[in-house]
Amino acid sequence: MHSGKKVFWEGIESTRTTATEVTRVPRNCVMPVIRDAQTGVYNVSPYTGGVISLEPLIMAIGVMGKGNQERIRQVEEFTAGLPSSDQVREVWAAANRMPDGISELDVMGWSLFQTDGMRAPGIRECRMNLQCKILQLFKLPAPWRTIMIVRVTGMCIDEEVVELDREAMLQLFPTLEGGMSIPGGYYGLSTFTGGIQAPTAKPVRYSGKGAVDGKIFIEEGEFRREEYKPILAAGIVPSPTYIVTVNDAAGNTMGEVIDVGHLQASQPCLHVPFKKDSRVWARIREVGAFTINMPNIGCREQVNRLRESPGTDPAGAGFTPAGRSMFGIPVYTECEMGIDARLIARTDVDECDTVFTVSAKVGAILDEEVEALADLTRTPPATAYEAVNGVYSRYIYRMFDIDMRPVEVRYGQYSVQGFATTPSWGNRISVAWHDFDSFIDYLQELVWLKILSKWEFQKIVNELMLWNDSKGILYLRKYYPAGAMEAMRTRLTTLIKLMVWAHRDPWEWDRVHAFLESFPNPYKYKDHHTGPMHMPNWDIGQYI
Amino acid sequence: MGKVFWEGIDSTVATARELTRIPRTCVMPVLRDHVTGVYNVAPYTAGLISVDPLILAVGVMGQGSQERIKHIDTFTMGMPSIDQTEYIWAAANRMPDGISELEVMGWHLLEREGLHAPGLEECRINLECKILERFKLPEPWRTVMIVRVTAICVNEELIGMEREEILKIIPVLEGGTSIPEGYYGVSTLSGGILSDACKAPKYTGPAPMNGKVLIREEDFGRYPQLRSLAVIPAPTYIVAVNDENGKPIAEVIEFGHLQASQPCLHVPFPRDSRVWARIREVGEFNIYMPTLENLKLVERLRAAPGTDPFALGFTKGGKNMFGIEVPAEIEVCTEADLMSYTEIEEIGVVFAVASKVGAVLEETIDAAADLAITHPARVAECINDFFSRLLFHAHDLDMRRVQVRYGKYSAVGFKTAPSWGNHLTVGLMHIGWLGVNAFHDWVLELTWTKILSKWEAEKIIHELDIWNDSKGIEYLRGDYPEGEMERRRERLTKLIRMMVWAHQDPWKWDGVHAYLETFPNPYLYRGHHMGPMHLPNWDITKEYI
Repeated sequence: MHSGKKVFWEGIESTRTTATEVTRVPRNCVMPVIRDAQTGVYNVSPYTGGVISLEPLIMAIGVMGKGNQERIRQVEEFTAGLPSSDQVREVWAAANRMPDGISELDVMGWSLFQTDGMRAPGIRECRMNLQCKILQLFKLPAPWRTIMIVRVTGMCIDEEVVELDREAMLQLFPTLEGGMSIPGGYYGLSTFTGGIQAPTAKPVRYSGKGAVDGKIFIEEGEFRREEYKPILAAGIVPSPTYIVTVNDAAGNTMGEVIDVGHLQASQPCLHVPFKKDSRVWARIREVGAFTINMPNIGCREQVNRLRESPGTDPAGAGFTPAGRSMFGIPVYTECEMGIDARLIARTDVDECDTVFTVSAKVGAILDEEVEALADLTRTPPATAYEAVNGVYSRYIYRMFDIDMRPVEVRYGQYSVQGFATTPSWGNRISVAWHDFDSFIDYLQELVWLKILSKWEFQKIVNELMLWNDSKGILYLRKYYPAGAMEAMRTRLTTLIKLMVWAHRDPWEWDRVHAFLESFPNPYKYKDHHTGPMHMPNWDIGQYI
Repeated sequence: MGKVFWEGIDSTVATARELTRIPRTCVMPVLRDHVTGVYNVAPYTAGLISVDPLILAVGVMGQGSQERIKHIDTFTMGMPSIDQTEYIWAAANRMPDGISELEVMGWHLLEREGLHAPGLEECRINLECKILERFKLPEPWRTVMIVRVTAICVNEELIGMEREEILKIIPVLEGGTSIPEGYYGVSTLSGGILSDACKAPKYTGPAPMNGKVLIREEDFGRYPQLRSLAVIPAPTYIVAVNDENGKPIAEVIEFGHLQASQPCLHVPFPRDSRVWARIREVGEFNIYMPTLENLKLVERLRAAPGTDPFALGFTKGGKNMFGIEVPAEIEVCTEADLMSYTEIEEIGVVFAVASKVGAVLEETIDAAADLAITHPARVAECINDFFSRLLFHAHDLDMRRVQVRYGKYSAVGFKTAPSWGNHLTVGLMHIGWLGVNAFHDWVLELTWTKILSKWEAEKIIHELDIWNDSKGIEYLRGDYPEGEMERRRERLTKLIRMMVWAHQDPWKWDGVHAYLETFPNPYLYRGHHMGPMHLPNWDITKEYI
């Protein structure tokens, strides 16, 4: 039972663990396959995506990293895989940063496929692939990311899962990225499963076209055909419903229920789509700040009432005010978590009559009990983990009926079962110090822990220097022997693949050591700038 | 004596790199950041391009510094002395933007009437410079500032001192090698200058003000003993190329500098040089580093630029990767690939920048410098001995008639200082995919070696996150309390200053620990992405087992 008392973290204090962890909302994982125009390599990374519109089906996917942002400028259409809950490890492998020119696909051991009608290759191992056409590249101000606004132009589903009932389908995929795990320097890919209140739980009898190589591809024009609706429904991923509130010019509060967009982790982290004629949006555009309240499953009736009268005071729909946020906007007893948002940028998505906004999280409002439980300085980690995941599990996840036309929203409840986290690149001290390269930090930790020898470290570093993101050492590139780059690519791919899986299974390090034996001797390349060393030929006794 | 040819990728072996990294002069430009208003000071190396007018080339690395110089026309640079290597080292360490190296070093700006931009109070020589050209090399490389010295400010104790004595104190030269220990190799070469123009005439110029004398360019001719202080010594070298008939032609060069960071060869040619004309066509050339033993041959070639060195007495020692003969007498040669050039109209010079893509070393010196077969103390001795035998040129006080003298430097006085960075990654400077940050790696090492606790590391990281190169956390900057950034600037400056000197004197870490006690508790700001931890309040035996 919650007292309804709130803790307000504002400004710099909103970077506290409790504020950042509890306000990180679970979201969907998509893996776009993007071809690098220079190297010809297909890159695959996991991002989170949010649905902006159902008809047409439009999604927003934020793309970080200079290389990735450059790459997407060179493509118009691509396919993104939706990984399943049993593929968390591969998703993690692809999330680790690779040198340019090394394909994550090779490292994961996954492969591309392109069936008849598909205009860009997808991921064979993903049971669902979405073919996407880029409508807009929405570049946030530097140093932030670019958001791809894409229209789903095709869907490809594995024949073996097409007849699963809705509940089973939702448990299979998509994987949701959860926010909280025991602090362990881990990249927190998590899965939510179970408890969905599915609108169409009955098994589907599929009567559409036959599969090619086990996959069924449908084009956008076929989405609404009766026989393909189960595929469409499966491709629209669930996410939590939230309420956006702002005060009008007279100081009265207006609220609106939003079922689309996504509230992600990397700042500016709030992707909120509004209908162009939204009163709430009109006011936010004027004042630049608003508050998000996350209702839980216990107040679905109030949510439904507010949904029916958007732009009105949530108190009128039955919400109980419990103080005001840093912007003077009310927060509510029924919402365990709230976020203060400052508008950063917006763009019109004309195809769906929507304004897509991006805001920064600059404050957090938490129930006192949740805040205390999530505070690792007061609570053991397992309790904090349970508390935060408990909050996630109480959100109102919206999903859609198979019959999309009259969009009917149903609520599902997720349980905390099935969370899985995986270790990341990076090391125990600086894994989150994002300005720096996590791979080099990871290598350093391996040496300090004596998993790699310092000579093995030097061999890897030397190889990476010569490879130099597939460019080679710039001033020496033209003097590289024929075939040297391809030999290096193969060697580096094998090495990284071995290391990725050794990171999961320490017994695999023996194979890494054996493989590194074949690398060139790094002694020759060390000078006084490359750190201290001692070599067997130095009999220091004779110098004392 | 046989030769070892290191070519292409193999030219990155340690022997090829160390022996071809030639001692050069250290200068410390004082550059005001147009955004933060902070004066930044970093040590660079400079090369002389012309003595009349006095023109120097200074390469500027780092995106921040390259951006800064776009907004500056005139600046002053200090020339540090042999007793200031610790401070040079301190300034060489990368600081977060908005933190002034000056405050970390404990140095002060020199501001006085007649000096158009502030210099360094603690430097005995300051050169006010006007930027003639910002020569931007192709990405990802540096910008080379071509500057004209427009004023010299000198400490009065140097006035009347003999040239030889002054050269022992100033400038510091960055030597190329030291025992491999992850150190930043600021080294000094001193002593043994041979010059019959060493006697300083009696000084009769303006009286010192606050212990310093300032003369402006128009008075340089009246006070040659002061002007000569800005004319920095460097080794003489020979540039060779094959002519259109495949015959070698060569020229002696006394200007420019052969530095460490690629593309590392800064070579100025007279515009009408035959050798340059041919290099511009073929793009590849060779640099021979003559030693004192080769003095007569060098003098012959100097008298006949653009001729065949082998017709003048050099002995053929084999052809390099470009088919250019290397002389048997020359212990160290560098193979160069022309990258870019610019014309300096004022003096009729073409300033060329080239990459080092190969090295030809005498077999004995290659073996003696090879750490895989030689003890490091011997390696340092061998390389430093080679440097000491190079033909360093100095200039007479009468600059108009350039007269070159040779000085012999002894290897005494080498000094290295420990760097930021750690034992593993100290030499990996922003190499491609490895975006290495020396300070961050140093903090990692301090933690692994238990000099800092992991919580102290977290405190430092958290402070740097919130400072964010003086920008603050971008999306929260508007919500920072008033005066917050200034408080954080002071705190970070003090911390870094304490860490710098604790790095030199380990007993000072106690002070760092005590100071870090005052930093905010990082426990409260840790997410699950920030590594494993255990907090005292987690009694796992009681509750969970």
